[in-house]
Amino acid sequence: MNSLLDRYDVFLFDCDGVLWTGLEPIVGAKKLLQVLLAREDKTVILVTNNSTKTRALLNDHVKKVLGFSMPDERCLYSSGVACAMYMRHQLKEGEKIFLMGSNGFSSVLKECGVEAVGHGVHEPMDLHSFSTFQPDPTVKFVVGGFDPQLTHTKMTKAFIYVREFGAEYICTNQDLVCPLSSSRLLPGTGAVLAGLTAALGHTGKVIGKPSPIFFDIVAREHGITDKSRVLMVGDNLLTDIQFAANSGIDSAVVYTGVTKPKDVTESAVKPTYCLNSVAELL
Amino acid sequence: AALGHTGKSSGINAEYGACAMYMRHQLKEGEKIFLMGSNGFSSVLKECGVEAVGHGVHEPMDLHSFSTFQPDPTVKFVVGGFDPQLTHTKMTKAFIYVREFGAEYICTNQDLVCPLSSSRLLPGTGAVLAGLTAALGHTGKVIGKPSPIFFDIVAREHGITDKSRVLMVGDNLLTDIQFAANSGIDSAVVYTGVTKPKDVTESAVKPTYCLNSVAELL
Repeated sequence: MNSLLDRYDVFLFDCDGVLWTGLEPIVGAKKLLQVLLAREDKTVILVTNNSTKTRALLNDHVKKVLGFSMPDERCLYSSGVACAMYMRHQLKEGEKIFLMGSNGFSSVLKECGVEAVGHGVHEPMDLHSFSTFQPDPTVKFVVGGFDPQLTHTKMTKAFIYVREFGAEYICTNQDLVCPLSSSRLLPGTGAVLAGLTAALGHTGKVIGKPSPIFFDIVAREHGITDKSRVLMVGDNLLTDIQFAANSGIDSAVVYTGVTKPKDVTESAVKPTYCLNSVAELL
Repeated sequence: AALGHTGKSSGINAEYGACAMYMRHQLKEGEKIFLMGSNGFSSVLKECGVEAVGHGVHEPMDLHSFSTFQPDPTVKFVVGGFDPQLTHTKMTKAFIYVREFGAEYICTNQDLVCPLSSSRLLPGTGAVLAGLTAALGHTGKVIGKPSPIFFDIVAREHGITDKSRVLMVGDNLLTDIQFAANSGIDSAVVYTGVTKPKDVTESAVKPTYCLNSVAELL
């Protein structure tokens, strides 16, 4: 399908299930990226909802699996990076954010000039201690990502920041489950944050896929103005393909990840193209 | 008879006992339950002859370690209560027990918030368990209020047969008064807790009686 490489100039790729599965590269992915990276008129951007790695660590993973690094780290976008960019111009000197997320996410935020508090393990608080809990008045946002250490205590502080003190609540994504293998699913970020969602009555503003906010942030940093020349390639209909639809760009689903042809038939959201794998782009 | 249980999650409460009673005749010798709940809850279960595993703090597991996670085959139920130590790792084990190994999932209640004071609300048990609910697509079987299962268990233990002679007194329309409605018994809401007269007007579920406090029963 050489015409696809001619029809589009900006290629957004989801990573897991598209370019690699865990540590195994998808056959043809390496060659495809090298072809695209060698062309001055083409742009390659990786877009992942995984908020746990800094851009440098994401690039390490690219190198480990595909054998080369992306030449420009700005072409590596996680939902964590997008959250940092969303907030940084809205925070004044000395203002902070309360983070329900990994240490990796706090590093991403720090690199973007956003100071996070609250991440890590919280000493369990007796419910009655919350009567006298005094939040930090410099906290302006509550940010939710994948947080293996989120407990009721941490969630409650976040709830108080949002409900009583007017902090704006944003999150990386709302995926309820993520596939570990073809037979085993695990609860995802949406499940980790579900308690706060339930208590607040809303998910907060979703910044990562499938939100078009993620596309706006990427487009702004890369000066992308012509949406008709952008193609999103992903394996997940609800995040990647829905993201493309919400952002007003074309999409290609690949069958090397969570989606099979039957799922496309049954889906309300349809990709522009269906490919067996990214290798077919060449 | 007047049922005065508030079912609040502080230490031992009636919903723990109800869960234990719901399960104990369904568990064979050597079978266990996986508990997302407090030490108080595991003690109540133990007193009722139900052996719990899984409660307490879980070492965070790397996602990829779950590929080789082997659950305990003697676990037949997953039980959810207020759990200040519930994390993604513990939730994921529970999810695997239910989704892959057919464990029956029950919970004490689904209250999304509980009031700490007149101005401060806290996330409740329903919020703690919301992640598993979201991942599974269902809440599991609710044993505590407002489920009529709770009434059936209490009625059975106390030999209550004439529902028309039972009055439920509570302050919460969504749990106490709904519980009475679901159980087919009369109810009285009291204004000494979370509910005020305006709330009764706006509520779909109505109590049989409205009292300023339990003192008015005298």
